[in-house]
Amino acid sequence: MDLGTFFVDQIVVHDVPRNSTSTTPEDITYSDAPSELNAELRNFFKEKTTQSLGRHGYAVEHDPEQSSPVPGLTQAILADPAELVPASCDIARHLYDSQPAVSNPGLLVAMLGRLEGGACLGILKLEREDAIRVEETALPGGGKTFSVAHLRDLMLGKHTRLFKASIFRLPGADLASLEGFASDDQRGYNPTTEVATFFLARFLGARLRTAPDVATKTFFEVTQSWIESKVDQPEKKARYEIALLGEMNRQAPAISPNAFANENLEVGDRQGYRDFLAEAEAPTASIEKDLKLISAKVSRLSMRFAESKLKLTGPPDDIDKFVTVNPEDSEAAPVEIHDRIDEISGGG
Amino acid sequence: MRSAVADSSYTELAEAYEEERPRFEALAERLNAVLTRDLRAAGVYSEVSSRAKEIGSFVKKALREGYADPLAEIGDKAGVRVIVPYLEDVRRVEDVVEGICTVEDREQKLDALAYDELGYLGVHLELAPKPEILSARGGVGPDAPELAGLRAELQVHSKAQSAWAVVSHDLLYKPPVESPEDAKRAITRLVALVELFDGEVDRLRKVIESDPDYAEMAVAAELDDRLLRFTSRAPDRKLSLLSVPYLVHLYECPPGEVVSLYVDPFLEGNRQKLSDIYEAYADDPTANPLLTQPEALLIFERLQNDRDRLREGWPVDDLSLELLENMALIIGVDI
Repeated sequence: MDLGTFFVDQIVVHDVPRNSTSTTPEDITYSDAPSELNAELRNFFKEKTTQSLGRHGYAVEHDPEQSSPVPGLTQAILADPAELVPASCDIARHLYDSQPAVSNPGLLVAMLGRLEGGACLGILKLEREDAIRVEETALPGGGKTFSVAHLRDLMLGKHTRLFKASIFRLPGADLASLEGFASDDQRGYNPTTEVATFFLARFLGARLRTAPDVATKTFFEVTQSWIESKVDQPEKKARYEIALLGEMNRQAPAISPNAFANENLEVGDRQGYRDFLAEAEAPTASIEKDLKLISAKVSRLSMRFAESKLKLTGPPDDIDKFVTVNPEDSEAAPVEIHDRIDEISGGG
Repeated sequence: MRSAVADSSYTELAEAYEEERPRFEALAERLNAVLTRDLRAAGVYSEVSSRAKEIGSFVKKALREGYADPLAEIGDKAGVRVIVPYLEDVRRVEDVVEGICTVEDREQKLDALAYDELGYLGVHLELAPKPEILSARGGVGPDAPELAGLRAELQVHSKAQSAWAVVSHDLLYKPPVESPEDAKRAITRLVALVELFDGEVDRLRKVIESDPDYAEMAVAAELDDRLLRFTSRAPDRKLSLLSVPYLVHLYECPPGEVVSLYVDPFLEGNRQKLSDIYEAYADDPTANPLLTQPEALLIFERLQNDRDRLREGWPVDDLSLELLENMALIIGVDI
């Protein structure tokens, strides 16, 4: 999905309180109409959503195992834009019902827009400070809506904590084709589950498009294939291989192929690597790391030397720590091991 | 030959033209829309205006010129005017016009003047619209078979010529009395100034373009034309100076080939996306200032095809990285 083709046309905001013993669904403040928008506000929400999904987004799809009404409501809105207000009220109600009691009060923002030329629905949850309320606007014929300009100001003033974002489109006729991106800025890369289970599964009724173990294996193998086929210098090859294994063994629950490229590859290699991933249909968005299918491959790193045919094998972290791989034309030896001999034994 | 107006009442002539006039009005509007679109696509900065001749003006011309058949003979019943910044753009306008109309007559007003004469300048074309622009398939308006066979007059002026045409109309035709000789002479001197002005502007442009350092900034000028397809906002050339030389050096080809080798293929593959982006930001007062600069197209192309080198060497002393990051957000690239 090309997030550069995402544009916002209409926005509806509902205020959803914390789900606790002191609140009931009647405490939800619903909008009765879309909020007033201008180009500046449309673009503000386009950019905020694109930023979150582009940086932390996971490719997701409809999960038929979940009982969430959100996929069906999304389908209704995409089929008939007039459903935006009533269906998004139901989405807000479901957010209240599905969120854990510890979740902060939040603003449910439903955005009807376009993605790659077709209709799409963006659903954001912005968690606000308890004391902060978004200005309401009375509608001429009765009812109310929220001021999106005020909401924008609150977001810029850090009174909302960003943010769970998602965007969906329905390229086919039925729910099975529902696909999109979801992200959770708040959780960063630290929690054990990247996109909070309640948001992705219970609330959105979605799941990751590729199982984490398969996505991790594909990323690892395609990256290795790129290093093998596209990187010429042995020193650089070794450096990239060590970086890849380091990435796989790092104590982080997610892999961002883009961040991996930025942090480990030389500037001139990054675009070619990204293109290689895309051509091989490997994940280019974030991946929830699961080493189940490749644990044996990533636990040890082997280096074979050209003339002696000697082989150096060990855990990637230790090789990274004790072995220096120098360019062949440097004054230092191509490979240096910084350690003392502890034991020597005869073989055979 | 007796004037037709003399044979019939001028009210009958006015009524006859009044009946015909909506077709000429529709033709003028159709030509205006097609020319605006096609000149923009060809990267020609221009102001296009059109009108159907007013009924009173039509009758007066019939009286003045003594036409036998004014309805058939008066050629500017549908009139379109295109004003371009420079004299050398006039030829580019004519090239575009030839794509949409058959040129039945061309009058270069300067050609009609003797070497020692000064007078009205500009190019006038008598046009018959090609069938495709009268068809819904032409992309501008519904099928309009009722406009087939009609003629229109197109005037093409440089800005200086246009200024002269407006002022001379006021000075020469509007005064209720004949101008004194010395006033006429002063007006003639003004015409000479218009010719001199346009000629000098063209000559100076050529001198500037022959400067070896011009090559990098010429890329910006080339990009102006491409950018016009998406926005008509005038770029700020001094702002371009801050980034264009750096951006041009990101490409592994001579500056003169950057647009054809890299930017044009990028535009070809991203035309709709860019159109949608420029439409979304057209009325946004807080939009990234680089968006309406010609270098935006280089930035977008590099963001798509080599974002790392672009970010690595971004001229942060002159332009904040935030501007580049926002351009990346707009085009949907995470840097």
